[in-house]
Amino acid sequence: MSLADGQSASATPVGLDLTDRERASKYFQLPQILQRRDGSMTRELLLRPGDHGLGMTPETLQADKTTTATCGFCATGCGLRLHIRDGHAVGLTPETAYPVNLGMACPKGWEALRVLESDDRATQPLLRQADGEMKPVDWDTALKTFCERFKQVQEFNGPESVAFLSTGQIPCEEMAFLGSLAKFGMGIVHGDGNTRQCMATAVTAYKQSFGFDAPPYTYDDFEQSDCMVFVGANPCIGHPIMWERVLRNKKSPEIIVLDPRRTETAMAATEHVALRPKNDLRVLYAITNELIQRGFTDQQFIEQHTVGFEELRQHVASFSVDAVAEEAGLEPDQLRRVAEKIGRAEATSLWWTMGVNQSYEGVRTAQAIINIALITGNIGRPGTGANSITGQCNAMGSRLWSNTTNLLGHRQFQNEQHRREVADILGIDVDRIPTQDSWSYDRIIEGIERGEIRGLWVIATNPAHSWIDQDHTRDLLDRLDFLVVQDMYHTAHTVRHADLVLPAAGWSEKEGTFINSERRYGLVKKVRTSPGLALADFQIFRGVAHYWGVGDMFARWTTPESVFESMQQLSAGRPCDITGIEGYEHIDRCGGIQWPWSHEDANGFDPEQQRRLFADGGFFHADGRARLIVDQITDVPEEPDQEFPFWLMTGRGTVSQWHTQTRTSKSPVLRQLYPNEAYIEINPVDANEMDVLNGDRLAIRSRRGSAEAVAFLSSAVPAGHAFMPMHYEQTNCLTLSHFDPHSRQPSYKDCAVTIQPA
Amino acid sequence: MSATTAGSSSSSTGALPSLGSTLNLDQVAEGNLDIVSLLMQDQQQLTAVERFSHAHDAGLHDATALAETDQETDEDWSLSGLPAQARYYQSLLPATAPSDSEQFAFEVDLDACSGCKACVVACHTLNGLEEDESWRRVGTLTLGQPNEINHGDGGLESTVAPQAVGIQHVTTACHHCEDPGCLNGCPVKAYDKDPVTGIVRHLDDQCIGCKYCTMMCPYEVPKYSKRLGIVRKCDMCHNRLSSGEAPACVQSCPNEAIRIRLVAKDQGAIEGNKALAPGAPPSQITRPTTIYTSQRSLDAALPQDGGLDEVAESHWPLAALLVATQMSVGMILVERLIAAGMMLSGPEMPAATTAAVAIASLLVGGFGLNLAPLHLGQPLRAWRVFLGLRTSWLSREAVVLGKYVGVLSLAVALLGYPFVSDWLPVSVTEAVDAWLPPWLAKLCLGLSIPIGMVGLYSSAMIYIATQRPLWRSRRTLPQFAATIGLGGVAVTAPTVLIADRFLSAESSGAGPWLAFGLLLAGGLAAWKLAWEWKRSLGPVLPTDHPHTKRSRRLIRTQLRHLRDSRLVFGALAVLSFLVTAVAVAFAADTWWALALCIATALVVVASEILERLLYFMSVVYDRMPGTIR
Repeated sequence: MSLADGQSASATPVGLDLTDRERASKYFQLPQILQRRDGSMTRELLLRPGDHGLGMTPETLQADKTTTATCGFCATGCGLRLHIRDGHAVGLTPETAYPVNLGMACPKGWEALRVLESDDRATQPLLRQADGEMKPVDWDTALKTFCERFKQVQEFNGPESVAFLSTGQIPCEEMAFLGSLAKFGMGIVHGDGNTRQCMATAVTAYKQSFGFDAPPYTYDDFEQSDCMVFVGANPCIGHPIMWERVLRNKKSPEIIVLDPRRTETAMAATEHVALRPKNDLRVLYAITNELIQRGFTDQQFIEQHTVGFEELRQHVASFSVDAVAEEAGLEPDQLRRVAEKIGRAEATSLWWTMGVNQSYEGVRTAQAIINIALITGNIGRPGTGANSITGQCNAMGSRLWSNTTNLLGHRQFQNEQHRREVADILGIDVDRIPTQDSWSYDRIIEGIERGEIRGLWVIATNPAHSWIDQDHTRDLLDRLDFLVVQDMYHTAHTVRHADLVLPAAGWSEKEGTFINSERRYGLVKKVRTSPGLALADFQIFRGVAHYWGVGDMFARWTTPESVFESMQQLSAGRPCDITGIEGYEHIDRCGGIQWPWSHEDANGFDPEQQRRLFADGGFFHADGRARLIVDQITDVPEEPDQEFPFWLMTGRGTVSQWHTQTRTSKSPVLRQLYPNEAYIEINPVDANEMDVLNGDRLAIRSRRGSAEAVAFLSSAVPAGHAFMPMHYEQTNCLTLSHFDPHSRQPSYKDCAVTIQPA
Repeated sequence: MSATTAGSSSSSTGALPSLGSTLNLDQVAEGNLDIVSLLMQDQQQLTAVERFSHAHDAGLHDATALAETDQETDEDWSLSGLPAQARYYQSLLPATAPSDSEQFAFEVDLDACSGCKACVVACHTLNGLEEDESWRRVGTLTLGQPNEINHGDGGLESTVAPQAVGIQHVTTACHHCEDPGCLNGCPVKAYDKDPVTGIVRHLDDQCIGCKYCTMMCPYEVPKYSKRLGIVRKCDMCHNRLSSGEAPACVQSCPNEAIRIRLVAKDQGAIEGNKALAPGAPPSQITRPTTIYTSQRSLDAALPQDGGLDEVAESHWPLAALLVATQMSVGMILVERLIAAGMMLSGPEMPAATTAAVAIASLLVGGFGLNLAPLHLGQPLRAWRVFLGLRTSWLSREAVVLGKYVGVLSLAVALLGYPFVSDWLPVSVTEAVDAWLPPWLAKLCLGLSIPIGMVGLYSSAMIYIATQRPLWRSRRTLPQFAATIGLGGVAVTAPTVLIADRFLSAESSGAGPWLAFGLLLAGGLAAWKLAWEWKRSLGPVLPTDHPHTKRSRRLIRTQLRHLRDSRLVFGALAVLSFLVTAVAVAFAADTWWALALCIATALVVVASEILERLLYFMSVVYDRMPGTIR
């Protein structure tokens, strides 16, 4: 292992001789009795060579075998190598060989096991008593109460009066079970997921433009682009392992970032377009206009594969670079430069995240991005695409399998043919399938206000913290006749409002598949026992099915993999076809498998690791053509004014925080990596006017509510603006309840507030 | 089509062992098991990872088989015998071991650091550290001065952000300095600078947990562990480097922002205020080896935690130790001065009084020195404290003050001897009388003063040597020196009065001298309080050093109760010195004069300890960029 001979140094060094005795011996060393260079404390940190391709490993990570599982935080879908000792996972390291993360992980991934160990874990069902106290009960009581109370609500108010709110955090199999159980078994009509808060806009945009909800890219595109445009995306913080791929791009790519804040990603950009908030659609239209005017379009592609170019051309013609730059607070030359960079690049890819999705005109903005990719022919080739970066670990699974606003396999409830297919495959009565679409999340919340929804089942999400206009939401949750919260932690904010709490097992305490941002199915394995009476959501659904009296309907679904088989059948012949996957072992062996992978695709071969859609220019609309969709600009609903002079943006704070922090707050080492108290970023100019110093406490007020936070002075936020991370409870007390009309996604990043020293 | 596909897929998986559940609802229907037990039982069964793990048993080869994305290096890694991960980090390590004139150093490409902090968690995990322990930290800088903007009526007038504005993260660990403060300060040689690699290693089993290195390291690198009673720090993953692997932080950075490189040893003096990062300590203190590279100018950057200081550790045993040892030496000094004054003016200082003061001084000094081990995490290892004499002021303090107590003890024994000789065996008294000259007691007492002063100087140097501007000699020495005088007078006065009253046949006649001393002490106390007011306790002055401003902000806010107490007791001390001076001058042999003396001593002890607690708790210093917490 050492380089003692000095020969191999030039080629591939395999180790450095650091124990040069001759040199070391020139130095005097005291005897051990005087200077103890070894002992129990030294040995505590001694590393030992690890087996299984691991490097030097501390005692705590020593494993007798390793296995890989997909991370359960964000949609990057990193492979984490679980260190197994005596059958249990004792620790993890990022999987070197996994094609997503190439041996890296962000702090959340590194701590994915640690967050499971907490006194806050829900370990037994809790039932609210007449006096308002929560009392532990056994599962039998819990499930009986669950069924009795919901049935009661349905009996008095109709079956539609019970709804469920699901998540992007549980595996596909559990989503499919939940959606099927609720809609086919329990007669529930309305159910939606927290994915409404993150991906609904991308879904709608893709569906309308491509004919199917199909993010076309693969992560290799980050490395193959000559020009990358990030709109409302801060992958450095939101998706650091995707950013890894950007930095691995060896083509010195242009990086164009559209963001009002000078984020880490904007810092790394070759062109930061620091536009005023909610000018993105306008700016994208101006860029489109410029691209068309200067002939940077791919006419052949437009003619062969798209519909609506003429309307697009006419629409964007009114968005002159000069006028838009003025409105957006930009230099016209910069927009011209950006258009030129997009137009001239061999391969341009465009990426967006929550800055676009969480907007009242998000769908049209996303489509403006898609339009640019289409008219410049930047789709289907390596390094191209109009690419939505997904949020949650299984938001993509939710889009296909949650059976909420789409019927299983991204079908439509109104479509009789679709209903029949599902009924046939699942072996259920077609009449059990609702014929109407589910209400979206916001409509369900509104339903509570109107008294239409009286019972609610919340699974692995935290609306009391995360939903927009929080005070109002919490008030509504308290109005429900019966609220069931199924969660890993009994301290989640929504639990405070629950009548019944069902303790759930977490990531690595159950099995199933996640679909990541690049459509890759990855496997989650059960390598830890869950605490107390906590059950995997899968087992809870089995229990509910049995107690509800519909156990027979789901008798086939005894294991997640049995559900996966049903999913495969349900996917057959659809754009998301996965009939070519040979089961969990196959997914594991291949390092995940991207959809589509049909039986025909497979033909006896394993899938290639980096596959993208639309290589042949064929889209999923009946005519095979993509749609170019444009719309009028919508006015900002709540402009800052004299009384509320600041524009409040919200978003992700640090890499080490996840959503409402029910999980990430449980890791002592993660807690060191982010401000534990709520903070608000304001420009030093504003701070100066308010006579506020870095670290002072501020009182923030909107028309909805108020919050306190620590001032963090940063020129990264323009004057007159403020930024608050969504991870703190107080943030959504301020936000304005308004939505994209097409996707019904909440618009979290625009409301007016006033800020004063507390 | 779907049916055949599903059929084939289920048959192929069916051949494999099941993932978990082997039970089904039929058993429930048959009444074999209730459903809840069935679910619980299913829940407890873990995935049979054997079904999957074959891919990993093969070690390196699976890695090459799976990742098709990085083919250029595949062959190397399958042959090298290095861990799979090596393919990503090998280019981040130097190709050779350091030559005689080189050492290892971290190099950080700030432009590549996106602030994900994976390095921090990887260090924690891959080194098996405690729950919240990591040897790497990431701080944040905000770049760019505020834009001069025209704040319109709508209040929304924003400008185009200039390129310089933004945010920059700075990852930092041990800098494996050329002249490590930790190593120089360590009293027991628990640090070792590896002669080959230059890595500054901490010897965990040698450490006594005195925490002095946490003051001596300008970069806050060594961190104390309560569980272990020692500090621990980054060793650049020495174990990994010696087997050809990269340190945890290097191998975990998604952006390859951290690498190990060779740097020349003895790069010579570093000029002026050059520092690793904005707000960081001047590099000339310890000559850190870490190299930060960036295309951006970070000159105008401000640390995110700028102006946000936390109250520093009180080190109360140290505060008590300092005050006690200073008082102890001060007492001997005051007693000797009075004795000298009396010798000039007439009656000699009675032996009993001298003995009493020496005993009291020994008690006070001994009390202080015995408190010291209280702040050690591993007191049983502390006997090695002499090892650091060559470089460590803490070693010097411990050794010299130890000698001081030794000489003082001898003096006390000899001074006390005449009073107890009647009870000693004749053989002893004969030997003593024959061998020990009568002037030896006074000599020992006299010697204890210079030895004690050297010890006290060493204790002051402990803090001065940290090069924290607020602890520089011009601030530390006057403050500590004043305590010698104030404490010396304050405790000597009642001791002399008590000796007069209970031990001597008649009054010593020290009264006027004592009164004079008390008067001087009153003046000194007043001066000291005014001095502290001007330098730390009072309002911000335009001439204040930035550290002073920060410290004043701490004192004004989080430490205001301590500050108020110090001011009240400081003023009381002045007052009681003066009142007591009058009392002793005119009625030294009255009970109430004695009572006043005792009260003064208590007030002065309290006020000096408060002063010293503030000295520790209000200290601020340059540091690597941090974050708001």
